[in-house]
Amino acid sequence: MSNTDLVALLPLIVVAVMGTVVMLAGAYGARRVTLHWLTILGVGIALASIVSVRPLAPRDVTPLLRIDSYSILFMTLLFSGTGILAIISHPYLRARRCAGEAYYSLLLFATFGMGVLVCSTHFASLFLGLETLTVSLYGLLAYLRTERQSLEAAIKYLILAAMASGLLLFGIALLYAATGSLVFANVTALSAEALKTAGSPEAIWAAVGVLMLIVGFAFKLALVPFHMWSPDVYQGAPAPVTALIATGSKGAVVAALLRLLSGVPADDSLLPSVLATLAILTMFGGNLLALLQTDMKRMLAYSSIAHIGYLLVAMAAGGVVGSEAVVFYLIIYVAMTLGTFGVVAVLSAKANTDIDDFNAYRGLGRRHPGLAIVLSVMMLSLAGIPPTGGFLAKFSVLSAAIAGGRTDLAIAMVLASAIAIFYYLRVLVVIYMDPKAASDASQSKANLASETSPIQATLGSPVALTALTLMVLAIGIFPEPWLEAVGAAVSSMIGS
Amino acid sequence: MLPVTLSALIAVPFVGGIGAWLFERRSPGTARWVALLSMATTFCMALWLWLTLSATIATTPEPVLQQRFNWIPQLGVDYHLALDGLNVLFVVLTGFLGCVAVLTSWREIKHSPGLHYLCLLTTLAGIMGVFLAFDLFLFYFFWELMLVPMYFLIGVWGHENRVRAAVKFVIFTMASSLFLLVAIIGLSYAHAQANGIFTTDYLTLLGTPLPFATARWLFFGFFVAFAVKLPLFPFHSWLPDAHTQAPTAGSILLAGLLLKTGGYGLIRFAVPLFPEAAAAYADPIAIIGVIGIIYGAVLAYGQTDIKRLIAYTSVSHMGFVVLGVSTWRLMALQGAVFQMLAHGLATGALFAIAGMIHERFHTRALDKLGGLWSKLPRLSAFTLVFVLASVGVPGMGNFIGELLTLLGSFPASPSLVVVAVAGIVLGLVVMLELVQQVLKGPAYSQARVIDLRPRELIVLGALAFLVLVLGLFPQPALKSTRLPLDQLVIRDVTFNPADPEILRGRTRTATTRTTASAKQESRP
Repeated sequence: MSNTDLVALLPLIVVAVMGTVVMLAGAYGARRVTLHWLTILGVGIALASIVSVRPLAPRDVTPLLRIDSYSILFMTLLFSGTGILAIISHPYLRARRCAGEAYYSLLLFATFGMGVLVCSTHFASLFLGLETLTVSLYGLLAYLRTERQSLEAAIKYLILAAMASGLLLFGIALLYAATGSLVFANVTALSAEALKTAGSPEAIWAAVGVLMLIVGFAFKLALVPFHMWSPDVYQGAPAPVTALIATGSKGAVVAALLRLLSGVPADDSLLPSVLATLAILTMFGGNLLALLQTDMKRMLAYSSIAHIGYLLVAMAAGGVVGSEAVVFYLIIYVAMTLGTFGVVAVLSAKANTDIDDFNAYRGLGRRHPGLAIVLSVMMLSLAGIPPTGGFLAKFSVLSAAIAGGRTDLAIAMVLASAIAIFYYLRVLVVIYMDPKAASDASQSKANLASETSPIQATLGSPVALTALTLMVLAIGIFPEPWLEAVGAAVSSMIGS
Repeated sequence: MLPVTLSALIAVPFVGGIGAWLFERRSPGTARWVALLSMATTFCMALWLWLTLSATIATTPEPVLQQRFNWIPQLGVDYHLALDGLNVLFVVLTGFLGCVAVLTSWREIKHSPGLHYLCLLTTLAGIMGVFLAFDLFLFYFFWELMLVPMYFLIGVWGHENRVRAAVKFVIFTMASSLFLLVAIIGLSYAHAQANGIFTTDYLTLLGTPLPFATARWLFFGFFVAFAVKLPLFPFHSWLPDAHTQAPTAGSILLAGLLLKTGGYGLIRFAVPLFPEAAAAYADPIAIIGVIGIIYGAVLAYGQTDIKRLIAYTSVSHMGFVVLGVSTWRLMALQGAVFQMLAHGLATGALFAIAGMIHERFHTRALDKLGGLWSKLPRLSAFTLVFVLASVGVPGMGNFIGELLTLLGSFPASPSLVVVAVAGIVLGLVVMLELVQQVLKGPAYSQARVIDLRPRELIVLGALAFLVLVLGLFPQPALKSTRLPLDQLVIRDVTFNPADPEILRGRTRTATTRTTASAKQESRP
């Protein structure tokens, strides 16, 4: 490993070091606000180092990691997400009088795990990255340790994530037995070959291994029918941590999965059909169940399940166009999901519990016009309505499906998103046009005054939310530079 | 300098809306004036474009004014606006009805008027974009863009059941639009496979050779979206709710402009892009158009709410548009376009009047109104004028539209035309009932109300003037649409050279069935 290799890994190293620094600073009694700024500083340095690493790409650093435009794009995206989460978390933690040292360092370690995931080209780094991320999430989920719901969510996540990790590990081991390699490219090529020779022990190992990998990833991404943990965890987790699970964790896993699948030979017929089945189940399952929810975070949990379903449509369609659509969708998904949970977190900042119930959002348009606008833009984007980025994302996925000859999936996606419009609009109805608001305005005012009226003014959250809103709108109106970056990233990934 | 104006038609209302919203804090009055000023500017620009370009328009079927630059090169999407003899009329109508909508909501909106004008003007900007877009992606962009502010207009400033109506409106229109989106992508890919270029440009995609099986599905995607917007008979159920619950300005926009985007889409996109599929389904489409004519009129008769009644007559009138489009002949198409313009003015005016009545008596129920003629002579006189216009009395715009549609469709399907004429009679009965209930008879309420204010007088006066101008001097509008429509008709027949008769021959076989079903519809 040369010096240049170390330089190429600088973004990851910075995040890991800053995580440790934050932890130590906390141990030496640094105040919450200091830790908060240290975290943001760490993310800032990491992002700056990404810029300096860019000329070195593409570069294989050991067989484990690869720094190319693809991983650089995702690191930029996910690190920025962490920065925004750190900003949003501050008022939230302050309101709950939680010390921040472990929180912020876990956040950085989780980010480190995500960074490793998006760079990984080897099952060892994939697994290590995934575990770093997951173990950090256990801590973060249970961070409000006086909250019953939060603890319940953490236990649920612990058990199911551990099981999923076990499945993944077993699958990896079987694939290793079948192919004798752990490098993505070799494994995919060799196991596809092994599967063709039916009856041999290699074929059986490879088949079972692939099955276990699929189930493991399906658990991690909360695909229907492996989604049961997700609504409970989303609901119970502190709002900023929910945002992290929904965006960073899912985003990094999808990024790694896409790199893994890019090596699958194009003539493989099994994988697209498996992905297509999962996609249809996930889109309809997520959207139909979201219709029934009366709780904001649960509804968003199902909505994010459905969005991963849309991603799978593009993945099943395959090809360069499909991969581009996945990456493009993921960028917008991260932005809009962060924005949505950001609003939830800001609203929950003053309350002792998270603001979950739809009723709590009644008349938000009057009380907090700014937050209401952010939330509406995010809802329109999630529903895929112009001029937001969500529309272009949907457009690119539909294009990929039709280009890949999967018109059936395109139609399924259209039907599923038609269902989805209903529950996204319900949020807008609650915010702006509550029919009961006029009659019991005084009463609701009394109810809500204690919870949300004086949101503690921090400069950070409004700036972060405004930036996310502008980003979602910018992608919707001027998508060209984003599509270009996505194109470059995917071509560097597929060329590897 | 000229090419800028096409974007300005979209940008000025939008900027005006933002301005109204920002000025609301200073005073609601300023917000109103900003909105009115920007809409008046838009109207003047549109009118000026039409007047200066009318000589060119009369000599060429091609777009006379275009604006185009690369927008998303990766997806083959251009920002491509164009103006030809067909859409220029709709653009002028949009500008005019925009002013009317701003003026009618002058006093009606009490709560955050600035935001109301933002929604109103953004909807108008979206509608302008829909009429001007010559790129399918851009078209879809505006097509969806106009829904969201309209949703807020209905849902926030509407009447008692506003939320339900708003949600229903959006679910119907958006769900159907998604099929349009898939069809647009499918068409672009079919074109890419045939010619190697992925593009969503309308003029390039025209004449893409498609296997019939593909064309059929793509046509279906386009047709569903436009049929819901129009609305065509089985897809109409959002319309009465939305029209009734919307505030006055929203109703005017819905009836006057949004419905027309559906008809315009059929004429501009659905049929020309898939002529064979459209020809193959011309009969069923004509039949449901005629069913809509009868059904809308029959249902309108049973209504007790003045706005609901007018809304159902819209369903009936849009049936003529569908009938005209399905025959795909120059005269019928000209009639359909003319019908849309005239209906936009007359029905917009009727909704404005319904709003004025509601403002004075706080009710829309027909049985709680009566004897208006003695109390509000001016308002009543205008009501009568627009009622006459709406039922198609000669001398008014709607007469020309209906006459041309029926004349143009007659050679293709005489029996359907006969049934459609019966629909006119039914519409007449409905409207006379309205006059009887509202204008005549004993006065229900004894409250003192004032007759038309100067502002309202100006609005209704201008609308009545235009309805008469359309009826008495139809030539400018007809001349404007002639060549573009002629080109569309010729292109599609040459594109389908085997059987130019296909467009007219088939309908005969199906007519007996239609008459029977139409009768069935009219019985309850």
